[in-house]
Amino acid sequence: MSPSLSDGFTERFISFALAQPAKFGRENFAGDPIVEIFVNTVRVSFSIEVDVYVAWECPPDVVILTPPSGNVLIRSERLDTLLVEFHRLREILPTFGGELAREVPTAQIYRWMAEFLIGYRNSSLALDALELRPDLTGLQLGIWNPFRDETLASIPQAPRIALQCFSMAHEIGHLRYPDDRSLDLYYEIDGLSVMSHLDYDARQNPDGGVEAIRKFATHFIDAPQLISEMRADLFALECVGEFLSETGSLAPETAVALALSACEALIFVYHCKEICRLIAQLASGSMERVDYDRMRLADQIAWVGRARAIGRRAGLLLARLEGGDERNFARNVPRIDAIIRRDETARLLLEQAMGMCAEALADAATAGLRPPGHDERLRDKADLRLELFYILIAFGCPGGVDVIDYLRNADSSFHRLEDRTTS
Amino acid sequence: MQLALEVDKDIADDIEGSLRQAGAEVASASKRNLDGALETVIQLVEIATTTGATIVPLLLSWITRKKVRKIRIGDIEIENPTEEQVEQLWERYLRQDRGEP
Repeated sequence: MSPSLSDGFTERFISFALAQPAKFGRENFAGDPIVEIFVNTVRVSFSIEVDVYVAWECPPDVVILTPPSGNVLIRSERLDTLLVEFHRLREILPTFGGELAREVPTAQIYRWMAEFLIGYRNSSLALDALELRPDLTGLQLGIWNPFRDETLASIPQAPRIALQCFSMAHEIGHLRYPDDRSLDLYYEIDGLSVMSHLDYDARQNPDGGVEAIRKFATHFIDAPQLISEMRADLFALECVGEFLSETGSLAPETAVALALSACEALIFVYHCKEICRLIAQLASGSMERVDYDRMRLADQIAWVGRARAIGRRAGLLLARLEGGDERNFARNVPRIDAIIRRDETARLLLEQAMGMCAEALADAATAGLRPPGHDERLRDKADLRLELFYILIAFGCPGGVDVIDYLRNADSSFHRLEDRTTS
Repeated sequence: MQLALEVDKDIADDIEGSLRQAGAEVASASKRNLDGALETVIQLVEIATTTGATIVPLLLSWITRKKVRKIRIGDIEIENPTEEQVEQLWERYLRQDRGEP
């Protein structure tokens, strides 16, 4: 290989992999030594070579690269704060009743969708999402804060570390278990086929429908990809549970509960991003509404399947952390169920809100007459500009960022390169 | 000259082979994101400017088949490039290489 091609090799791969106008540098784990210790422990324990980078001035995302110079994990600065927001939202949701129980999660999910849609180069739909939000002016929820340090400090250390570590470990898990395109939905994890997690609800239903679910899943779920996600989830659950229990000296049940809670946050956020990817395709005309609805259903089934697989592994992990025999994990089933049920109210409200937001945005994306471009829509709307300004601050943009310029640049598929040197 | 491509995984090996056959040096990395989008491959390519004329028709054929997600030539990066855009970009690069405005 010529010296010019290998010069700044990793940085050149990262620079090209990230969507413009993102910037990047070595990850400093938001200055938290515990998260750094966790990543180093996982690296050493599993002999996984990976360099971790952080990207900013960009929407929440994770990119994994495998260049010849070694694996690279690039997480956007915004991802951690988004996970913390999910955690805060889930905590406070059960305190709301009536309309607020619907409006609070809806408002937050639309904001996240707006961020993801900016990442999919569709700021017009991002504006739709922000404009569809219920007006909660005056309600001091304390979920949303554009400043990274303040957001990270807004929840106790243990759940915050669990969220950050789970996210890191999940991605490292993808390096440990790369996609295997030969796998199908009858692949077994912990003694059960993936399909048995997917058709579980249908099997409990007296009206049946098992065959229909199996047929649908076989046709529309990307089995190797789902299995790769499941293995990454399980890897992360084990790593985080053990780390919190052993290094963090937490009781095994607390450690497992925190790891499960972090997993739910990650799956929800990724699910939200996937919906936005589909909506962006719908808006571009590259996907029909009928296919979108099908993909949404497939994603939903896959999401539930992941949750079931991780619940089962949590019982095994708890048995091991308590020094017991994994074969007796059945006695942990009611304990894991109890942990999962704690957030049942919030989970239900979040799922309903997600479904409603996805439906409304898909309708907006396919509406015959699209609203004018963001320049025109933002010109007279100072409130919306301010909202977007704070979103860009949360992305890690400098205080002087011009909202309209950023969105114009973000929507463009043509870029003249800026200097994106690492720091 | 250096160029960078992001291409669909299913055709990445073919593209790399063709580029090498045309005299290019290629370094590849697979890329995956957190959403459900399919894995892609990034290729950093080093070619002599004189070989560029051989590479451009190859590039255009992959672009026609919608296999190139992103391309970078010089200081310009284009997502989902069209044939016209790449031809213009190449002309622009050659002009710059000759020191023309």
